[in-house]
Order: sequence, then structure tokens, then C-alpha cells
Amino acid sequence: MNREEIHIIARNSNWSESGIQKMLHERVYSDEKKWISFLNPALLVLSSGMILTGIICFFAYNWDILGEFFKFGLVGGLIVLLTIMGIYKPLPEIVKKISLLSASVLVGVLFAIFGQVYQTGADAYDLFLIWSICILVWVVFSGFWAQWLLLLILLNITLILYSEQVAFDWDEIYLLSILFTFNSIVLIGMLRYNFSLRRNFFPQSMFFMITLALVFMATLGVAITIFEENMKEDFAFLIIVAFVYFLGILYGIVNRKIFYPAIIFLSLILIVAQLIIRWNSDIIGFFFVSVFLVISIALLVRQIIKTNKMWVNGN
Amino acid sequence: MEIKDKLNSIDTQQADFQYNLDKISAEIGDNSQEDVSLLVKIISIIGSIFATAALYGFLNLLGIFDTHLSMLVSGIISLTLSIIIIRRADAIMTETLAVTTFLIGLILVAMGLDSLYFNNNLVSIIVILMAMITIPIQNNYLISWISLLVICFNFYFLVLYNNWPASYHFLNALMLFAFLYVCIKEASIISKRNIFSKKYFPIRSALLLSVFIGYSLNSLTGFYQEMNYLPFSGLAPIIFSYYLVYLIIELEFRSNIKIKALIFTIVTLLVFPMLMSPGLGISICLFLLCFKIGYRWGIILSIAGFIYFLGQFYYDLNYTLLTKSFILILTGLILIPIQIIFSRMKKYGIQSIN
Repeated sequence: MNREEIHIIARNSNWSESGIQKMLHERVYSDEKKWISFLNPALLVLSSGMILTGIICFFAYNWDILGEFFKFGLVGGLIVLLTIMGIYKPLPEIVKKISLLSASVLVGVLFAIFGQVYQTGADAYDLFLIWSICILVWVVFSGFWAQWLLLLILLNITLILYSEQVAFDWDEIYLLSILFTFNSIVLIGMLRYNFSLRRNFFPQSMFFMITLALVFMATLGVAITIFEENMKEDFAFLIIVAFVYFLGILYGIVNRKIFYPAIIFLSLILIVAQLIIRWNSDIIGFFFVSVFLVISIALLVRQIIKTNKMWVNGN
Repeated sequence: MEIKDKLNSIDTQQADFQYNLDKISAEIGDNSQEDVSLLVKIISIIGSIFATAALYGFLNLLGIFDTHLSMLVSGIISLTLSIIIIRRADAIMTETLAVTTFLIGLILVAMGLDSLYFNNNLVSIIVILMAMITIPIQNNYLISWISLLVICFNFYFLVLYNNWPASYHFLNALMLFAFLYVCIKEASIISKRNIFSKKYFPIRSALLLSVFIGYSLNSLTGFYQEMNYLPFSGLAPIIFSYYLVYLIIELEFRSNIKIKALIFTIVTLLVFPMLMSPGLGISICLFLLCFKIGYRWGIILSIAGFIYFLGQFYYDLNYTLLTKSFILILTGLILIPIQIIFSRMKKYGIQSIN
């Protein structure tokens, strides 16, 4: 029995206060086991985080007086140590994975120190690109989803910085097209990998985050296209978005995951609203948009509930 | 577990247990989609915000904002319409419309009163009263939640607009007490079967947000941090944290003196930072409370707040980076033996710490 059910029964019965309190304690409130299960890893993360931050602050304070050899040696030594921990069999699996992830992060720190010491003057996108290439082998063989997330973030940053520092002829839509296509391929690849393994190697929350980012990019990109009246020039972007949205809705229906079609249809509603405003940004346009939004959101919500109910009942 | 089985399990514990099976079955049936209820709420809120913005644009172009009378009349009509819609029609289909008209109604009334050169305090009080009136006359979660947020935020507006630092800290403490009361006395509130029991979830959610934002304002913006007032804000979370720790260890760890002493020691170590950083204090207090009662969103918000305000606390310390590094390392080292004890408890059970 969950909290909502307890409330519903309490509202429609003469259930006593002591009875409700007892049920809440038994079924809802946290007991001793939950407290210990939470505090144990939380204190580990907190203590190691504070010690690590303290060490970083110590070296930051003394950074100017440290020699180059010491700076490189320190970070390089840590990378070697963490890599050894990442492959040292007696250690627990989670410790090995986090060690290798920390080593991947420190690779970027090493390159940043290199750039600072030798004043290479390289554009920032170089750093992120080389960082991504260097950690690629660890990412592939680590068996840890967080490594893939780090790689994905680094590659996205590389693309964005490249467009700002080198590719000056790329407009916003071109950049959004590249980012959207790249991340869509990554998402499809991750979903396919989970499917082939028949388990959740990549957690569902990661898919939700990537999907939200993709939908945001698509909605923003289409808005720019609509309001700058570049539909002919940006036709390719619109086709890619339409195709990926179609795949997303299909995936959601086939696998009975309501999140994907729901969020895609919300984006489509906002896109149509933008089209109405573009068609008429006067009184009539705003009136139609508000009526359209109210009706379409209501229908979307109704359909989400109806479809989910159908799937839950096994239809 | 079927509904009847759940009710029978209660029946065995309470001799005179009577219930309305049809209503319970209907409400539980409606509520069975817990996994999509959050998605639906978020989509409704996003839709309502955009629809409100579009409606605002429409009304602006229509000239409603040109005179105070048109704003007031439109606002009142809009508010009345939202209540009628949500009471009469199918909630799922009309929720977005009702929330949109409610939001625009509040905005129009507030702007209409403001354009009449009413004192801002009076406008705020009228808006609070209007929100209070809407709460008992409808049963929609979103409208109740928005009304409660409007009431809480307007109290903060009154304090900040009139520049009352003592009242700001007192209001923080009062909001925290209200949230604590609502959470601790959950069984008592819902057993009374009155308006507060019906509005329990929006009340709890609105108070959580108001308390968190109210305390965070102080830590984020740095205003009202005069030393003679600051302890009042920091004091409330400390007192309530001790009370919560007392409740938790009495109920969950009652048999073990060493564990009780350990937990009280941890809280005492945190007193100074909680006093200096109200944001940190409220995060710890909210975490203790929300974890105790299993309130997931409260736990997430308090952990996020704790990480942020802990970082801000150390950053703002008036010491050199070298001293700060030693403080951080020392704090981390103190936590290690405590973590080892909890690790032993997890592995061997609580009896191992005797």
C-alpha cells in the first residue's frame, strides 16, 4: 500500500489516526535499514569528496611555486595510480569503475596544465577533441555508462567550440543540425545496445536526459527556422527532425514507453503554436494560439492517460 | 494486493472500521497511473504557461491592459470562469484551460489594483485573500498548489517590499514550522477528513518550495545577513534538526546508546555551518524530515541544496585557500570513522555496534 492509497482510504472511511500512523510507518516512512543504506554511501561520497577538494585547494594555493615537473608528475602519477586501480582485480567493481572515470577526468586536467605551462595558444576545441580521443579506449572497455556520458559531453563541447572558433560559416541551424543528428545517432545506438544485451546497461534516466536535450534542440531550431523564414534553406534540418520524431514515436509505441511520444507531441504542439504566431502575430493569431494550446494540451494529457491505462492493463 | 485485501488488513486492526468501497475503488483506479502523473502534471504546467503567455498577448493587443476597470473586470471574470470550469467539467480535459484562466485572472486583478494606485501592501493582501478563497471551493491539485504558492510568496513579498529583516527571518522560521507540522502530523491531518486533509499534497508541496526558496534567498543574495538577525534564521533549522534527530533515533535506533550518541555528535558538528549558512541549515533539516517521511522530491531538493550550499559555505569562508584545504581535509577525515561504523551496521546489523 503506498501513500496515495492510504490517503484515499483514510478520506473515505473512519480509519483511526493511530491506524493510519501505524500503516504509514510500516509502508511509507523510512526505517533503520533505509537510513543505514543511505548514510553508508552518502558519508563515503561526502568524506572522499571533501578530502579530494581539500587536496585540490592545497595544490591550487601552492600552484605558482610548484615546478612544471612536479605539476605534470602529480597529475600523471594520479592518472597512472587510478588506472592501475581500475584494472586491479581484488577491488570491488564500483571502485574500479569510479577510479577509471576519475582517471578520464584527470586526462583533461593534464592537457589543461600542458596548455597553461607551455602557452600553446591552441583553440579550446583542440583540448576537448584530444581529451575525447585519449579516453576512447577506456570508455569502450570500462563497461561503465558514466564513461560514455562523459565522452558524449566532451564531443558535444568539441562541436560547439569548433563552430565558435573555426567554422565561422556555420549558422545556428547548421550547428543544431549537426548536434541533433549526432546525438540522435548516439541515442539510437545506446537503445539498440540495451536491447541486444537484454538489460539496462545505460540507465533510463540517461535516455530521458538525452531525449529532452534533443527535443529542446529541435523545438529551438524549428522556431529559428520559422521566424527567420528560412524553411527552404533549412529544409534538411526539418527532414531530420521529422524522421527522428517519427522514430521516437514508433519506439515509444512499440516498447510501451509513454514518455517519448508524450514529449515529442508536446514539442510538435509548440511548433504548431509558433507557426500560428508566424502566420498572424495580431489579435487573431494570439487568440488562436491560446485556444489551440489549451485544447491540444488537454487532448494530449487525455491521450497519455488513456494509452498508459491501456498498456498497464495489458492491451 | 487487491483493494479488498488491503481494506481487510485494516479491518482486522480496527473493530468498527467502515468504508465506502465504491468511492475508494474509483479513486484508486483514477490514481493507478502514478508513473505518468508527474509527466502529466509537467506537461499541463508547461502548456498552461505557454497558453497564459499567448492569452496575455491577446489581451494586451485587445487593449484590456489600457484601463484599470477592464483589467479588474476581466480578471474577476477569468477567476470565476476557472473555478466554474474545474468544478463542472471533466478535470483531465479542462485542467489546462482552468489553470490558464486562473493564472491570467490573478495577473489581471493584481495589475488592475496596481494601476488604481493602491498601495502595494494592499494589492498583496487582496491577492492573498483571493487565493485563500479559491482553495476550499475547488478540488484541483494544480490550482490549489498555485494558490498556496501565491499566498506564501506574497507573504515574502510583503516582508521584502517593506524591508523588515526581523520579520523575514521570523517568516522563514514560521514556514519551516508549518512544513514540519504538516509532515510530522500527516496521520492526524488526514484522519480529520476536512479541507486540510483533502488539500494535503498541494499544501505540503507548496510549503516545501516556499521554505526552500525563502531560506535560499538569504544565502544566495546575501541580504538580511546582519549578525543580530542571522542567527534567528539559522536557529530554527538547528532546533528542528535536533528535534527530528531525536524522533528518528527514538523510533529507529532506540536500543543503541552508542548510535544515538554518534548521530547527535554528527548533528552538533554541523551546528556552526548551519548557523552561518541558512541555506545549508535548511537543506540538512529538510533532508532529515523528508527522508524520515519518504517524501522523494523533498529528498532530491534537499540533497541538491546541501551540495550547493556546502560548496558556497566553504567558498565564502574568510580564510586563505591553504587554511580552507586543511579544514576540508580534516572534515573529510572526521567523517571516515563515522562512515566505517555505518558500513559495519549495514554488513553486520545494528547489534554489531555495542
